[in-house]
Amino acid sequence: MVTPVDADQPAQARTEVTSRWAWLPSLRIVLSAAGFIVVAGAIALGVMLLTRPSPQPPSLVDVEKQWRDAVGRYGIEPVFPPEEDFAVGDLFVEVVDDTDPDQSVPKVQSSFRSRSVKVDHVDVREQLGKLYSMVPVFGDAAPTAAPNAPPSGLFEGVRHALPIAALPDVSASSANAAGAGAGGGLMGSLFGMIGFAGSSQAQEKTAFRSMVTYGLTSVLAEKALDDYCHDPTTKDNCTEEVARRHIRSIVGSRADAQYIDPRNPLKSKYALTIRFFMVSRVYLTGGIVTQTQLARAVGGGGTVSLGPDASQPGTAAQPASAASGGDTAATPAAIQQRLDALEKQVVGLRQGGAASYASSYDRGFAMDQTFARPVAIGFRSVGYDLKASQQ
Amino acid sequence: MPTRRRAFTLLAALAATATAAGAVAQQPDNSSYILFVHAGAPPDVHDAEARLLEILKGLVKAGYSVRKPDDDRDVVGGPGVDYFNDNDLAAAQAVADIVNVAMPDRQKKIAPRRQRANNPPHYLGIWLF
Repeated sequence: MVTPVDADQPAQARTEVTSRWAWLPSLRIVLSAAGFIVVAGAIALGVMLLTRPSPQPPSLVDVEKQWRDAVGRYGIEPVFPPEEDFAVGDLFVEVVDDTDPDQSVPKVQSSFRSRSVKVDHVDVREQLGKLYSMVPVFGDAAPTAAPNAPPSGLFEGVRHALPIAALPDVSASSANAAGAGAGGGLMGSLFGMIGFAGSSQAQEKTAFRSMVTYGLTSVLAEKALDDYCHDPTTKDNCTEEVARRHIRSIVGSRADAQYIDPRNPLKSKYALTIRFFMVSRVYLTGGIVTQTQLARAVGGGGTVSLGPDASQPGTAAQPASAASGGDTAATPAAIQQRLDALEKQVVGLRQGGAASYASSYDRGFAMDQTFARPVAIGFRSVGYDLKASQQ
Repeated sequence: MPTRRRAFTLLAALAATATAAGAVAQQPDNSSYILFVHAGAPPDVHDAEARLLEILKGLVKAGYSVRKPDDDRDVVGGPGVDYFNDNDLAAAQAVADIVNVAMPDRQKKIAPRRQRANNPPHYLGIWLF
């Protein structure tokens, strides 16, 4: 039984008690070593978890999807890849839904080019000319007809350039953050703090230069398409049968595949839903600037201290627990700052064990393309009911 | 005693419900099977359409993906359920059973038959007449 040390005890008894606790310093060393091993192992585990490949790394973003998302934000249908050969009056058949239960065949791709076929073109130059002759034009785009001619009225300028379309730059970003921390409480006296943090961020910015647009009003476009679909020489193109024949070039015999409707065995429905439409407005650009920024930071840190200067364990490893917070905390730069702070604190420790790990990168790519002539990046359309042509 | 009997009845009802629920849960997903129905009938079969409808009802009820029937007829091999992969034998047999139930008056029952054509797995061809 150990009795408390008392000042009144004889010197011999005090010496006996002191010698009984003489092994304490070696215990501290052992505990420090054990703590260091635990921390280092935990850091290694955390780093492995944070640095393992994610299912879809930001660098492997679907370019077509990025484009679709970027252009889609303007409320227009995207043309990918952008091309010059795309005009108001173009007639397309497009696969809009693929519900084929047959798993042995590839599904129709999502890009416009891989799920649509240009069928024909309606000449709408006359309608466009009439329409834009009625629209007032101002500024440098409306010079007078001749140098010596009398000045025209305010609303009688002649248009010599396509109407400008001002589209703001589009930015798309994604960020992932993860963090974990442990410390404080009962264990805090032994283990200062263990923490891990990781963050990845991808940002893409798309800007279109010299955007212009032209198109028909909805009324004029629908009339032009309706006239085409009632013209004896072209009306067959507006039938389901002919439209499906056209998409065979991209989906093969699946274009005509029909399945029995489970709700009504007397009826059948196509595996592929299509639409037939005419382009009524086109958005063109003279150049495209795309910037991609990829950044990632991963790190972990831990301290074990048995010295009196480690009485505030919570200050040792701030990065981890904070990293799981909001967007600001999740940025690679913010995590890197916290990792730096951790390292400074680790250096200041006198006794105990400490370890830290940090890794980060920041990459950027930019693509700047200028075209000799404007290319279409998006459009609007009017549709035609193919079933109506069969009635 | 009446209380104990009631308890047994309740337990039996619960067991029956669980069994039924299990049976529903174990129903195989047949939607991955693509059935090509060839419904060309000889001239002497006057109720071909009605028979076809009954067969289609049975097949869609069992959850198969049934393509719109065509008017082809196997004049050489006759009626049968063609399968092209050894693993599809059980499904071909199940389909044949559905067809036979829908045409009980047929003297020779329809049966699965292995074909060597290079078709994808889960494709089944049904020659009705």
